[in-house]
Amino acid sequence: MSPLLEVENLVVRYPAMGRVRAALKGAEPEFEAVADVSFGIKAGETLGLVGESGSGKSTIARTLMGLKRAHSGSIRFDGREISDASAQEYARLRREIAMMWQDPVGSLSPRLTVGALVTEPLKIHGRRADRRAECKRLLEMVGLPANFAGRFPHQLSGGQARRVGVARALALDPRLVIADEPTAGLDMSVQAEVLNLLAEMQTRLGIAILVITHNLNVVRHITDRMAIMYLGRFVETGPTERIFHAPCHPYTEALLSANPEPDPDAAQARITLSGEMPSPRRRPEGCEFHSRCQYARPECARRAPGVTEHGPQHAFTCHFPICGPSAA
Amino acid sequence: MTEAADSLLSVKNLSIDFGTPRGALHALRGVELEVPKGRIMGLVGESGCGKSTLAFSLAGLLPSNGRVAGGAILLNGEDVTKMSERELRDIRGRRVSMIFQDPMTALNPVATIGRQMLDIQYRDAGGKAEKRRRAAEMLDRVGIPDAAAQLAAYPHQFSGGMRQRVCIAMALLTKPDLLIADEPTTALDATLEVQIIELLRELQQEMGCAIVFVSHHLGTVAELCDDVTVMYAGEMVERGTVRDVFHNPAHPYTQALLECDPARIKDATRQLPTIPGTLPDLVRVPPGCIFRNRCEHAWERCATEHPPHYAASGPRHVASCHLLDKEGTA
Repeated sequence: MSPLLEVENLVVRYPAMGRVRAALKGAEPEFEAVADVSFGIKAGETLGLVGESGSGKSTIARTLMGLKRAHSGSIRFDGREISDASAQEYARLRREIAMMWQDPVGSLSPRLTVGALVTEPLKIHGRRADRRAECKRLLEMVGLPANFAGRFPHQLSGGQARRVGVARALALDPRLVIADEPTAGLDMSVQAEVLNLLAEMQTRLGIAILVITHNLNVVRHITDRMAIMYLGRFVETGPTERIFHAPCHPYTEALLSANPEPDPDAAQARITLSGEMPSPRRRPEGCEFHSRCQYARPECARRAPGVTEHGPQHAFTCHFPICGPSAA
Repeated sequence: MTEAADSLLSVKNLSIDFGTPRGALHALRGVELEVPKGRIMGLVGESGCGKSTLAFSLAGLLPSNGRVAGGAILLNGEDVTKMSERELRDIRGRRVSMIFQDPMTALNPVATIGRQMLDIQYRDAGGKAEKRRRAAEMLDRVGIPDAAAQLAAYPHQFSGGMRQRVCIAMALLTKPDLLIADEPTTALDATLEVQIIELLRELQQEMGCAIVFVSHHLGTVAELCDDVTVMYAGEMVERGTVRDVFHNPAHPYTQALLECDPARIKDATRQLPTIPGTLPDLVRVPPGCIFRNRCEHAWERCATEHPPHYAASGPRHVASCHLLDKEGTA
């Protein structure tokens, strides 16, 4: 089965400074926020995109939604190239690709009721439907009582607002949902509720989901595969369980160790990375992670590692992987 | 008992109300907290449980509609709730310091770091040069590279993690007895969180101050804290050493909270445990146990009688749940 969404060698750039200033300084006026990224999502599959602030994960989401243009590379949705689609074409595409925004309350208009909010996508896309019945169906689907239709966003808790966001995303029966930090700012018990809801929706509706998050705990239970990003590149991709059990890239290992178990006696080998993520405007030479890597050797600063295949669908970019010799 | 003797902070039966259009909201009810010198107390609970209200009240920083309805906050035996604004100013920064959640907004954007770090030492003896030296030393201590030169920098020139380091440096510059940290790592990335936690632990060991560490992240509390207080809907439901509480949680809420933590669940599942139900209305606080409507063990007694603090597994481990009443149910 060919993937529903296929991204190949995607590069997205942002301006770093004015063109005149760049010309005077003889510097590159743009920097790469996303640098040569490829991935695919099949129908009914969930992919997790994990990375810290500034790793380019939200930029990928914005590019997929047509809110930011790709510099180069291709994005195919259902076999069709969409990276050069016009605004009108994108308007149509957004019926099939839905977005859940990061801020659950902030992404809802404070002046619309829940009922108006969940049926707004139908209105925008001119879909004729019994809005009242649709509203009831959607609220029921995300587990909110029907009388919530009359409430305003400020009367909702974070978890309830998130459910409204899910209902809005599902209103047009999309085939792909992009969830940007679906659990940011939610309490632990509510976070589990939202993740269960997403998993249930996927099982029931067979949609593909792209989950973008910095929290590895979030991806573990709802994704089939995950990709770890650093400075706009994938450093490791593979089946979620496999990566959790045996990460290959030192950055993945550090991220995994940063999610400690609530047990004071657990063998907490937390790995402290020194320093902070470098700026994508001044990428380090060689392996881009070497400046923070505890295993770095002189070679890492000189030569950038290529992609190494490591078993089925599992790949990483590192000279000295921690998972031992490649099984490929 | 010698407990009272070496106690730095002792909160007794504290109740705090907030004035709202619907009437008084009883945000904290009968909270007890005991922090000995040099220990780290974790304060955990979900949004709306009152952990931040409690933390802010320790430094006398309640919002204008907040009111202490009863109880006392004893800091070295002096009641913070009875202090005048002037006395409060005197303890802030000197005996109690605070690190806030958002390092972006905690610093003054139009003053240099050096200026702000000099200002905070306004009570201390010594000339300007001496104070600058102390500021630079402290910045260096929290891991800011090239500290002396950075005194001339403005907050926006630092990244989030560096800004939180600056905030920590400022909070500890005056060598307080008590440091209140209100979710200091929530706004930071995971790998930076690790760095900040490590830094806090090192500095605590070096300076010997007590820390009240507010967090909703159980893993971080388990790692950093000695003791932990679990709060729910404005009440303290369980308290004890981190080991007692996390290994033998006695209150059903603590048990549920620990179960929800995805870091604990080792096998992939599509159905994560949750805590069904919602928080009770704190304007009209229901009688009996506050957790009753979400508790799977609740029975008649829970609806009528408010559970006192029963002794649980360890010596200082207590929880408010009738299930622990050895005499009553036997």
